[in-house]
Amino acid sequence: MQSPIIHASPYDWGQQNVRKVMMQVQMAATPAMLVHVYFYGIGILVQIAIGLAIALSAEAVMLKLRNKPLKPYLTDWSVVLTTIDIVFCLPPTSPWWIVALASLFAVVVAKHLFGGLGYNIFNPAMTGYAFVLLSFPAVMTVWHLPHHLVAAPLDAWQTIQLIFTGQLPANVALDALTGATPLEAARTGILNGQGLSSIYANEIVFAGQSFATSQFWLSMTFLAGGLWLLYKGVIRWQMPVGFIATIALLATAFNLYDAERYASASFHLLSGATLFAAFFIITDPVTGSTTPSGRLYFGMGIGALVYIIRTWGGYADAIAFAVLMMNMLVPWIDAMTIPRVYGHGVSKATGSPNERH
Amino acid sequence: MIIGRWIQQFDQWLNRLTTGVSFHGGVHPAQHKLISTHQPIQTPPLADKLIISLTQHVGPASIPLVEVGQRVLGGELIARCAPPLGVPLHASTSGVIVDIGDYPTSHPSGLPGPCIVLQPDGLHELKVFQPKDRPNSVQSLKAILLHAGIIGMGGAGFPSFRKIANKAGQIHTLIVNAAECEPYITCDDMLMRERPHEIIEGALITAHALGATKVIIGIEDNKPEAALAMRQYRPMPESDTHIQVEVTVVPTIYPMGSANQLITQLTGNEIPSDAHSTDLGLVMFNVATLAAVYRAVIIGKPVMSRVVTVTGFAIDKPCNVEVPIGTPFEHLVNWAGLQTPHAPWLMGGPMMGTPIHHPQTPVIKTSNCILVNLPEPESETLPCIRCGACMDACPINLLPQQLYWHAKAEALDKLEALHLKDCIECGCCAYVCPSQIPLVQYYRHAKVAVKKDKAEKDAQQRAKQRHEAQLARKEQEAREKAERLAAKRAAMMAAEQAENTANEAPKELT
Repeated sequence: MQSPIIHASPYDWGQQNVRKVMMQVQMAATPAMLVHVYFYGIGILVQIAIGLAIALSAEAVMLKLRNKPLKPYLTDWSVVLTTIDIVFCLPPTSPWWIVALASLFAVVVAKHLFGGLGYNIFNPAMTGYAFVLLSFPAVMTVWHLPHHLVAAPLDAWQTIQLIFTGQLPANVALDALTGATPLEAARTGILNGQGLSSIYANEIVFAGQSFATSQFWLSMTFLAGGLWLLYKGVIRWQMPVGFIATIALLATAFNLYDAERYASASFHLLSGATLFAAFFIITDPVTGSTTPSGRLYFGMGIGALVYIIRTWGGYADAIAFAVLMMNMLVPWIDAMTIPRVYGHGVSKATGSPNERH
Repeated sequence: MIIGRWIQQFDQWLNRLTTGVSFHGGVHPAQHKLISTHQPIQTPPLADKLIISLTQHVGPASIPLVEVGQRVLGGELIARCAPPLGVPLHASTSGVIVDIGDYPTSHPSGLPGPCIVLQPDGLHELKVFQPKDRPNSVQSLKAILLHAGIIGMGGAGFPSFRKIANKAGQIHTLIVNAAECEPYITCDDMLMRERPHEIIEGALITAHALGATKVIIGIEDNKPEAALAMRQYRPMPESDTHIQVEVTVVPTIYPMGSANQLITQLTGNEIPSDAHSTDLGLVMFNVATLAAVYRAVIIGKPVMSRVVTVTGFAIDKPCNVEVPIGTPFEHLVNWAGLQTPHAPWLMGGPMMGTPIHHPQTPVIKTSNCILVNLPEPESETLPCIRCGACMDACPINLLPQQLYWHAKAEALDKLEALHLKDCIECGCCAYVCPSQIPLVQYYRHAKVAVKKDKAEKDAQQRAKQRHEAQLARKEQEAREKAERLAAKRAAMMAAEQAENTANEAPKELT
């Protein structure tokens, strides 16, 4: 069908547009970014700069190749959002080519080869992230420790040097700066036959001013940003609620069954990218379900998969794989969850929606 | 499935709790109603020519009864209804018929339609009107509605006599649509403020004839003056005092004024998709329609004029005017003062209005508003990002985003499965779309495609049936022929055999 003429009702348009939607999501992520800088240094800002440069160039080239106009698509800000989603998942001091490759793969393969904005089946950020996670697992599991766990944190210049050249200052060893994340530490500990209580007692990431502090504050800022997005109507409640509730329920059930082997709900919710995913990743509209109950099932599915992979699978965190797997089910979920249309399925005699006919 | 239903009910409950709205979705476009409510309803001078369209209502065109050159009085019948579905037309003022022919109309296509052109003589001489008794039966009400040329004046244009049930007592509640949810339009608001007696008496007359016991008037909360005026009015002593009149203030949300949505808001029930409101004992009329009923009964006057809002930011003095049917839009716009010569004109509001292609387009019985705003910069359409804002805004609870997808692909079976035909084209989806996709346009195209496809399939089905019947008939004929032949042959054989036996028998004997 060719595009119909635009000169027909309605003649009034709302204030919302794609740019504004994308900007609002970025604004919601800004406090978390500041907290990130506070705990881990300026690494994330450098990563964003690299990611943006690569992603925007890739977007421009792909648009050119696809004969699409540059201006409206480059300025829709969706690329910026993809980059931010990737960067928050990466270790802040990972080498520059990691974020470059992830952004490139996200924009070129996940987005444009599937038809560009609005047509991609898989979440571009998670596709890019999964690509580097599977290709370079060693680099990806080395997480930079928060500065209060490090004797001599890197300054800005040293951070940039580390990201671009892999060079550390002469007197600093990589081991002193990095460690396993709490999720990773717990997983490895359990695999080695330790109980959770002893892991919590012995591993450095759980010590006093722990890693968890930084993750707690990060999680709280993600939560605040997410609630603001909900209030603004940019995201809908079903996805985060389904996701968080599923993880919390599964974690609580298994934790009650065996607290030594299965971590508590709060550990699962405040570790890794859980709350970031709840409000910023799984809420990507393009690749998520579009019906009200479908959104709930979509969130619940991701939550269940995240818990299963974290607990019994091969990866410490599993947001990316869970999201990609649920992305595949979206067309089916959408088809199965068509809402009741006005005047359908109501009592024929009274029109009451509560009595079915 | 069940969970989906729960979520839907929870959403609806939450919606009702937080906004007071009982139906799903809706939007809040900027109202801009205050610009046209500063002054009372005005009466501009008569236009030089009144162009009275023969196709103002839903149904076949009225049939002219006058000739060119003939002088008519105001209120005189100038076109009779084409039975059984049409309505008659009356002269809006006294004057001479100068032409009968095709003139520009406000039809969305912009194509000219049949009109009677009346040149007013300025005397406004009226026919002598006969006041009528308040009708006591549905049939007498129907006759009055028909002969006064009353149609749905809220914009639907459906002949009112066709809308009501035939049996007395079938309707228990008359709902008065005073929501006026479209931005800019204030003609119903002003009518309620200035003439609450016409509306409420009209409603009481109608309710009495129908045997209804209740009148509910639904007014949006952005019209407190109108609600007050309606509440303060005390019915005339001769009206049916057993009828309970209730003024209900409803939240301001578009499309509150859509018939089904207002019914849901006021009664909590939905109109089943395969039924009409009359099946639930409800009937709805717009305030202007009821005022016309009042005049048709109490004065005996047919529909000759209506209140029109002339408004918009390109108009000097936005206001409401009562004008004879047939007044060209240009006359009203010039009278109210046009600031920007190239601003586009609309009949109706910004959400569902139709563009006016010709300045001489006349006011018809359903013209509630002439809206002249400054031209908006063309918005650029981006791809759908599947955000679902359209779904949240749809008052019918459709999935506009999926409909759009399937409309683009012309997947007609999918469109039917998603209930495209239930779409009321209110424009909420397009209003909220962040990618500014003209969604309603896609649905209009798709509806036509579905209809065409269905007609083609029906035709094919009929042809197939005809062909099969023909085949069956031929087969039957062939079979009968074969049977006849077989019978004949058998008879011949039998005869032959008999002959043979007869011939053989003597042989044996010999």
